Amino acid sequence: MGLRIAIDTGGTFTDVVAIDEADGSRYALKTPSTPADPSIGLLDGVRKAAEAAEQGEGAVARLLHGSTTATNAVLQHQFDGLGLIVTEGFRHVIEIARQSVPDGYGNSFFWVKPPRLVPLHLVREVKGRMTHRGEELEPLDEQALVEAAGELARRGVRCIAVCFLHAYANDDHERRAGDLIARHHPELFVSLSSVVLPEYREYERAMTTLIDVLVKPYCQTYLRTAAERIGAGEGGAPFLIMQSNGGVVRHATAGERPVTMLLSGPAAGVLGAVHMARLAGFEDVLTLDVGGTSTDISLVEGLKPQLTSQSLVEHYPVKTPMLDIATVGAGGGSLAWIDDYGALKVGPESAGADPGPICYGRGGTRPTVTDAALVLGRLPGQLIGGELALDAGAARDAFARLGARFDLSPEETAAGVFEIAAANQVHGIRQVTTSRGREPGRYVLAAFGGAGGMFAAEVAAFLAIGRILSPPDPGNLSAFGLHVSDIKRDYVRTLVRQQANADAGEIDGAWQELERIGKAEVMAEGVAAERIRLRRSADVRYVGEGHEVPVEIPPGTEGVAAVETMWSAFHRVHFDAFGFDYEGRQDVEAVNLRVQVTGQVDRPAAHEVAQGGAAAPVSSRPVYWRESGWVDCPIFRREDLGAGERLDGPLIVEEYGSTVVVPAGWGLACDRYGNLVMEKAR
Amino acid sequence: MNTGAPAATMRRISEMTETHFDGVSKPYVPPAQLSISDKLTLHREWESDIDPVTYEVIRHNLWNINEEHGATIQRISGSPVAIYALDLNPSILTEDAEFVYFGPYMQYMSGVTDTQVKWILENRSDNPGIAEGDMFLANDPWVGAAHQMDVMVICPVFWEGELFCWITNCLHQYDIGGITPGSFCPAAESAFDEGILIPPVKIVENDVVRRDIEELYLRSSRKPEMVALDFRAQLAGNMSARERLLQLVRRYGPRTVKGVMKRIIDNAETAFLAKLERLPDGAWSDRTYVEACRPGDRRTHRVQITVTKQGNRLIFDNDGTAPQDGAMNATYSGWRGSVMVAINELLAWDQYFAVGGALRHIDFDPTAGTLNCADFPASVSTAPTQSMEISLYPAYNAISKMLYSDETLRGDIMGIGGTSQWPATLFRGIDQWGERYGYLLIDPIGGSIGAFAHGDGINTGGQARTPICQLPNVEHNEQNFPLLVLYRKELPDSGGAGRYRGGLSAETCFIPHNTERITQDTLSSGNATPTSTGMMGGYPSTTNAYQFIRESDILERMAESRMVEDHSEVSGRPEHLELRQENFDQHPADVYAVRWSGGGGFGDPMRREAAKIQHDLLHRNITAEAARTIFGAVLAEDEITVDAEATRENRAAILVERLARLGNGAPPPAKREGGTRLHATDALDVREDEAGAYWACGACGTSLGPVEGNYKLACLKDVRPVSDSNPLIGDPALFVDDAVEFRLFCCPGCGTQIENEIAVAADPILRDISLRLAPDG
Repeated sequence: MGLRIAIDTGGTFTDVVAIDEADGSRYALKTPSTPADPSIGLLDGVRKAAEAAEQGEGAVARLLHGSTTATNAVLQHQFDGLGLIVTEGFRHVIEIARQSVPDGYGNSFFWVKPPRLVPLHLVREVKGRMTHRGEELEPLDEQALVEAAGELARRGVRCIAVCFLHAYANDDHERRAGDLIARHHPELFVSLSSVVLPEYREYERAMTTLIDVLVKPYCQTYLRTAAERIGAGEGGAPFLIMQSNGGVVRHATAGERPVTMLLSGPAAGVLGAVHMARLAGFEDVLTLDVGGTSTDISLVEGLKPQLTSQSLVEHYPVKTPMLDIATVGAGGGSLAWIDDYGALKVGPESAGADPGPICYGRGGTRPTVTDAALVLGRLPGQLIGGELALDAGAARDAFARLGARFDLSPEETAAGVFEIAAANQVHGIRQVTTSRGREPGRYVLAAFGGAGGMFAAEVAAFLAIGRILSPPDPGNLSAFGLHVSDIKRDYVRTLVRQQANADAGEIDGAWQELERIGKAEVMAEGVAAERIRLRRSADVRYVGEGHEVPVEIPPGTEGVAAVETMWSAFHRVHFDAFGFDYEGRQDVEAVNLRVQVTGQVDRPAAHEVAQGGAAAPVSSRPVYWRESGWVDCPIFRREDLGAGERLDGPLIVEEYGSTVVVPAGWGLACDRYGNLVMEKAR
Repeated sequence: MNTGAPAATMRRISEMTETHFDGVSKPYVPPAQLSISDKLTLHREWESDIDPVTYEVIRHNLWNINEEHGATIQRISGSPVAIYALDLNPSILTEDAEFVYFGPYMQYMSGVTDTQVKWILENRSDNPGIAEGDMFLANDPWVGAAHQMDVMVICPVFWEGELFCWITNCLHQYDIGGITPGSFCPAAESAFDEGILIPPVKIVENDVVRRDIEELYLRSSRKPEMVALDFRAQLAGNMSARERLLQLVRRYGPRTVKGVMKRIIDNAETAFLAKLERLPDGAWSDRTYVEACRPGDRRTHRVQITVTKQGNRLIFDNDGTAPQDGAMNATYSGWRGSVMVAINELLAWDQYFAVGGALRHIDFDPTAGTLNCADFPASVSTAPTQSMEISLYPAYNAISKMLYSDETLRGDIMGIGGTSQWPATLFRGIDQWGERYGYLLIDPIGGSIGAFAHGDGINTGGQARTPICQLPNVEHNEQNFPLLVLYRKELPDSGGAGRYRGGLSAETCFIPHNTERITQDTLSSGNATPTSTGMMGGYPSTTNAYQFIRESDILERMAESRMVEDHSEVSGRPEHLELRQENFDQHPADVYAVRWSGGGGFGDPMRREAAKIQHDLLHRNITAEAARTIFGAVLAEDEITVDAEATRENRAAILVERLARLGNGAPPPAKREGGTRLHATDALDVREDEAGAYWACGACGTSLGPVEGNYKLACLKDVRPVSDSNPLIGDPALFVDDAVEFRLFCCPGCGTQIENEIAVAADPILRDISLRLAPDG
């Protein structure tokens, strides 16, 4: 028995949640992040968690780690030392790109193509051509390849991505290239497109491969350093790294394909929310994770988070499978401002941690959403724990100045800012619901992150959502989510075959091959065979369509029966996604075959709260609502709410690092796991 | 050259007061006051005092309703046209058909939307009436559609019995009849050879689709099931947008929602007027040409645009444009839609394309019977890729010149972008899967963005008229069509030279693969005469180009591992392709390369900084040859390093030589010492002394005549072959019988190039700027 420690490294703070395997006790704490060498913050977190649990560092039984550090490495635009080797004739692959102007709003010269990861003079062409069927038309020019790598190295390149046309269909040339570079230039980091993303579409594959090799030195180094210093990893306690697909893998595996760590930050929060939703008895959930600068939103159906392979890091496509999370630039720190035409706007610019909102008194001068919450009485005068007194007067003055422009009172202005921020979040929810044919009203809104509970009711009102879930300790749900993550790896192969003349045995064989590799690799992570689950799926389309839809094969359907299921289930999936199908009228084409391999991890026991039913407010204060003005509202402490507690709004529930706002017309109930469930009165 | 009917018989719409522009034989031109039946009540009450929060929240919602409307169509349509080319656009209009929002998809569709709604208000409000639960179907280009395939479904939104607003969408259909599959009919002689024409008809009544009308609509199509599906997508888009709009009305009240709509337009109007106030009165013109209006045609067809600013109004006309002919024309609304793309992107982008505010102060006054304001029954099915595209891009130049004199608005200037005429490669046959296919190579959507007044254009930056389109991957093209792509690359020198360079375009080169043959058609223009011309001394980009090499050695080369990076490396029999060549076969050894035009340059290339030239050489944006001949640079032996000092001296020597050669020994004109009144272009000022205002060379101040005249007439004129303007431009005589010139206009005092023109030799010098200055600054 020992301590399981989950460490969620953000840009400013590192959140730690430790669980004692012996008695289920939990310890949550924060420590500053150390972006220059993330292993330092990580080790600090381990040390502090062990101290809090009054145990030695040797008691660490499992270390789980999620991080935004890989993403930040890309966002900082430090692309030096990167080179690209491509097939002859296609050196412009990342110059031409796909040319689409993001959003398409406004004048096109607001959008200059984003900085290329590799300038044209560090792109090299090598002869060697495959067809889309994987036939070799022209052999690889090995000598030219070695020369190209050598020449790039002389020009200061340290990391090389190799992306040959149709390498997803036949990776011989790329594998050979990888071997040759390793032999002649062992000092170089190399990523092969057929390893990183064996899918067709060369621009996206090249970009994903470049991003993989870009973050490789950094991620490999810090993960190795951390593992060595903690004694985790080989022979020690498992050191598991969060992936963007919502699963974890061993740190050495993560370092081999670090692109899968990108955008993993918000994934753990979704898993934490799913875990708590399951306990609360909900299956279909919208998650709303409101942080300081942004809000992450995702759709969960049947307790299954949705995956996408259409993600972007800034303007750069990263096509590895990821939890489908929409991010909008509206959080607690978002700034309120007036545009050139006198319209009131909120975000995406944020006051960040430094200087932060005006009310923190650290030099912030521009009003934020947090300041608005304070002016409206939704935040207490000091953050619980008492370490930070908030300057309500300064915040009110700022909104008085802002409101004077429109002849509005400070509270009317603050309420407006709050509503506009909520409207921005609503737009994010529409991206994952109505834009995909889903009615948001049939989902439960699971709101967490520091400010989730403040916004939830406001957002729900816009979307006719009638139920809100506020999980316990919402500020630490991401770190908690790491504890409930399984080992998960994705395998894909592009195999374009049309139903009319496809060989079911060939398709099944390709799936089996992926399963064989996946099973072996997950067992090598230390998972017993009986805890491994395999899930087949495929990306399928009608012949002539430019995009595919994912078709899941239900567990238990194996062999050629899975192929039959793929063909037959496709029409319904297409209908659900688009509202029509061409069954019987148009041939169907499989494009990518996928296997997800899950190694189930034993979860910590659910933590239960004491029986409640008679909680009394600790105080009351006036709270401003746009519809009804100032109303005196009771304030409850979350720790006073026990299982079975039922209350009616308006009221406010406060706890360390977060606040839940319950407006009039909403009821509140607490279940035995400490979930607060808000329901709108009919 | 197309001379057509004598110009004297052709008049502007505003002069034809006796003619009824009703959308039948003449295009529909909405009157200032719509005549609407008493049977229809318009919702005309709104709140003018709305707090900023409510305004912002409702504004945001309206924008999102429109965005979701587009997404719904894409999701349901399933047609490659909707999903790939994004050839669609949704919009929201007020009860009286002013634009509230127009989507970020196909931009030219804006100009064809409000005219349709106004026509419906005028012509359908009495019989059959406009009521709650109705929708109208329309595609008649003389009422307002770009071409027959752009089918609109138009939905009036009612609140308590009053017409509250309109929701509309427009979606390009795969085939709605006509002599050519796909309904693009390059050989059509008239609209009678083309797809079905439908003036607005009520297809949905009381929320029920009228089956009789739907069957009539689908009957002419070769792909009725696809058109039917698209129609369902259009219906669903309108219905969901209407429902969300009504939710908004229920929540905030009709007076408030309508008030926000009006204020969005009012704010856009205010912003637009504030821009106009910064600009002098005057007129700005640009000119270009269409080639090959039907198979075998070897004439050029002139297209001209003028924007006139008078106080707080803009007037656009097409004086000088050739008469309608062959299969290249557009109607009034098509031309207006083209011009509106440039207005939106240069003048209304900061208002999220709420172009309704600007339209209150804009008149469109083209000449009837011209190729871009054609009378019924001209052939118009190719309009979007020909007459409309060729009408759009010169508008960028004309508007940009109007904006130049104001320092702030100068930042909004954008040169002509790439694929300014589409070099279509229409192919069909049996594919590698043994199935029939037919499509066109979509790669030219990669386009390019022209130069700005403050920086270079964007290489393969797309087509400005359709900003969110995506270029397919090479692997996608090879998966879907029996092609093997030999290369797809940006081409050095393809962007127009200039002080700021236009964006580069690219070339795709392919052979058939796993098939015996591909049957090909071409459909292009801008292969002889560059259509991405430069601005204010900037040079044109490359022309479009088809290269076809029959029976090449490519298959042997492949076997010997000697694949190519350029079509010039293969040996074989080069074959000249005409611009509307039909039914020619490409066999596996026939190499076919297609190049599209790039972005035009800005300002005299001889003024480009040495460091930028060096950067361009390093990145292969230009060749060393162009650096020397066009930019006047002196290069070190590595052919990359630019010797800045030697370049300065060389350029000075070029000016001296130019003065000597063009001036015929005449002494330079006497200097005048007037003060600068305004900068008219990058190289041209207006100055003023006691004798009055005069044009002056921006570099040396030499007078170029009184401001009432054409400064070009006072310049030294250097007439050169068009191939001198860009190293990638070939001999126009391959395609057209008219001689084409590259005319440089240079200062007689210092030799600096002030402006240039690409012109058919018989055409007069274009007067590109006329100013009407206020009496005293």
